[in-house]
Amino acid sequence: MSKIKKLIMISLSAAVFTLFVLMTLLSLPIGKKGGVLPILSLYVTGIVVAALFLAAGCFLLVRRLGGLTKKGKKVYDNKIRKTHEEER
Amino acid sequence: MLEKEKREKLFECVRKDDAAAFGELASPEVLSAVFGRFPLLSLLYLFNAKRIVKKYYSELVKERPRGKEEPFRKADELFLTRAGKCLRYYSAGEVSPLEMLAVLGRGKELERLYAVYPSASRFLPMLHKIYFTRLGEGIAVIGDKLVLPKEPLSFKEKKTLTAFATAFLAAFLVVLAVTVFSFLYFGTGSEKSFYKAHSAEATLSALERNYCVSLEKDLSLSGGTEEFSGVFDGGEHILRLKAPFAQTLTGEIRNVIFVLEEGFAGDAVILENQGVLKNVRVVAEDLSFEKGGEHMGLLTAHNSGTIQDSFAVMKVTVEGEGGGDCFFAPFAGLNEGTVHNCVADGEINAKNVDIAGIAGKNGEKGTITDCVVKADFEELSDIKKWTPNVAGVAAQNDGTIYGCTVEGTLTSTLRAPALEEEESPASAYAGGITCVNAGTVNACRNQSAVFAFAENGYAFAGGVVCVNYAGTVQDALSGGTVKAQSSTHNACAGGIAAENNQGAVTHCGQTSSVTAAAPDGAAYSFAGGIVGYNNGTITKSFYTGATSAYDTDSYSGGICGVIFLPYSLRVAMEDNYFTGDGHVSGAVISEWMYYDLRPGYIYGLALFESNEAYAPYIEGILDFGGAKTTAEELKTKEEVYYE
Repeated sequence: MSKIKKLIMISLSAAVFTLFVLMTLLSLPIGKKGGVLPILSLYVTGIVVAALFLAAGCFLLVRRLGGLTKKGKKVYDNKIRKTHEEER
Repeated sequence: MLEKEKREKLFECVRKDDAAAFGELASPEVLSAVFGRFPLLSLLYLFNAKRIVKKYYSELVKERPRGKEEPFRKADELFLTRAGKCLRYYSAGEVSPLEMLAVLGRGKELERLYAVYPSASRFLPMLHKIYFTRLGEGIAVIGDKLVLPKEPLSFKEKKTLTAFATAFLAAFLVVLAVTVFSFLYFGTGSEKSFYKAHSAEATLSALERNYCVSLEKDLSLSGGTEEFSGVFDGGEHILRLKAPFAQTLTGEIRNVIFVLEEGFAGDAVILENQGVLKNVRVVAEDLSFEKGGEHMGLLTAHNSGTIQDSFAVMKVTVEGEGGGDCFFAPFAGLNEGTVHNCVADGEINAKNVDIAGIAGKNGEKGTITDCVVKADFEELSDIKKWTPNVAGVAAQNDGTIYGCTVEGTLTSTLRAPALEEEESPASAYAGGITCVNAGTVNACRNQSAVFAFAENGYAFAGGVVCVNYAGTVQDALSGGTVKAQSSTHNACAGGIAAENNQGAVTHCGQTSSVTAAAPDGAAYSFAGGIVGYNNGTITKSFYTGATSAYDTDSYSGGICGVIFLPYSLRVAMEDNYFTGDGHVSGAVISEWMYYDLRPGYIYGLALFESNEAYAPYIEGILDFGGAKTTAEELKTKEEVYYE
């Protein structure tokens, strides 16, 4: 993994997490500035951010475990099979 | 052959990936050199000299005549460690750049190089072998493109991926935990998922956002919201208030106990209710209110919505400045909506503020049904132009009061300074259900004692209504003592109404004593079992209390204290009964000259009984519209409302 990719990944995830923290602070009725935003916005942001992190985490984990994603493996297998058929 | 110094410099450039230094050395001789078994490009790939490769890529991939050079020992050593299983193929042979990339497992670079490398296909068998050896899978070619098996990750890559994957999954768990916890702890504020308020700040925040809120514990609020259109469910918790909970309510509040704390500043908990208040309890113990707006209350100042199944417990004092009308009542200062099945219990002491047990004023659209008041109410007025009104349900009624019950003591006291000659006096009004009725009072019961005391003013006390102005009172029963007393002016008391002015009293009864007292020789007192002063309709009503004695200044009758005889001579009284002594009416005021009765003058029993000339008319006037009976007979009369 290149440094640029790492940097982008870290920056994006930090930005997304910061957004979530910000939404939490503004949505939850805690403190004087709490509750400025509807609490529903916290849940929507939370679900979206959690989904993003989960997808990213799972994707990297699958890569780490040496496999391809189901879709990726299917594409690769098809490509190899097609190649061998052409060779024959 | 390259010079030794140049070779060493070149090797250093390659090893350090120094593109600038490499540029100084780059010459056709260098670019075509093969060091041992490594062409220059292979060497660059082996040492991962990316910058040099990138900068001189086009030059490096060109096919040139080869110039054999001495090998670099370190390069051989490095290849030995990197080649792994593939080393078997290179005991002596040359390692082409394509093969080097294949051995090193740099698939993407291999694919790119394959596309531009001269006669690259000649290396395919070797590439196939290398990949098969390394990964157990061969390669394929589509057109001019290589299709390579997927490379396994390096240890470093695995480490990086593990770190990122762990970080992302940890972040996922954190975000998910915060979101789920927030959802479970706070809810969404929708009707299906109430916002759970655990703190005062959270409650205020939720109110301002008009969420559907459920209170999770007892709280104290120092402020409120302007308008609330959501649903507030108190869960039977206590909410202590120092200010109104909402200026305007268009939503619903239910199952909550409002406790008004000392120093509560505001006209009511809800200033304007257009919504629903259900099962709300308001507690105000040892509190003092000062006149704010025209209508003040504990729960609402102005109700045009619905209040039902609610409870008020109070011990309060209210003080007005006497400069304008002001009403105070536990549930609504002004009711133009519905108050149903509510209970008020406690004491109110007022000064120059009219008070009642449910609503200060019940407007034309107002409905008060099935309410119970257990209270001791007392109002004192110490100013000349203020008529204190004290009533069990509503001080003024223009709407409908149905099925209400009042117990306790209601006292209205006027203690005005001495009047000047041209000044007209005020009055003290007390009514068991309402003071001034222009609406309908139906099926109500008053068990409270009703007192009106006046000094420098009139006194009016009615068991159900004080003054019935063209209103309707029916099926009402009064069982409390009724007393009106003035030390300076007339006093008027009625078991149902002190004064019935163009109104109708039907199917009503009074079972306790009704008395009126005024100073002898200076003023009159009128006491009637049903009505003190009657200028309206009384039908099918009864009185079982004791009839007070009468003289030239004090007029008392079993049904009326005094009747107004109209020009038509038709007094609208019918089927009324009383169990005491005396006549149906204690006195008469004629509208027109009638057998020497001067219009506007009060002619009492004493006059009739002492003057034989009038004797024939006694039956016709003072015993008109009613009759004496016994309690037993009264109970058998089915048409008469009696319990």
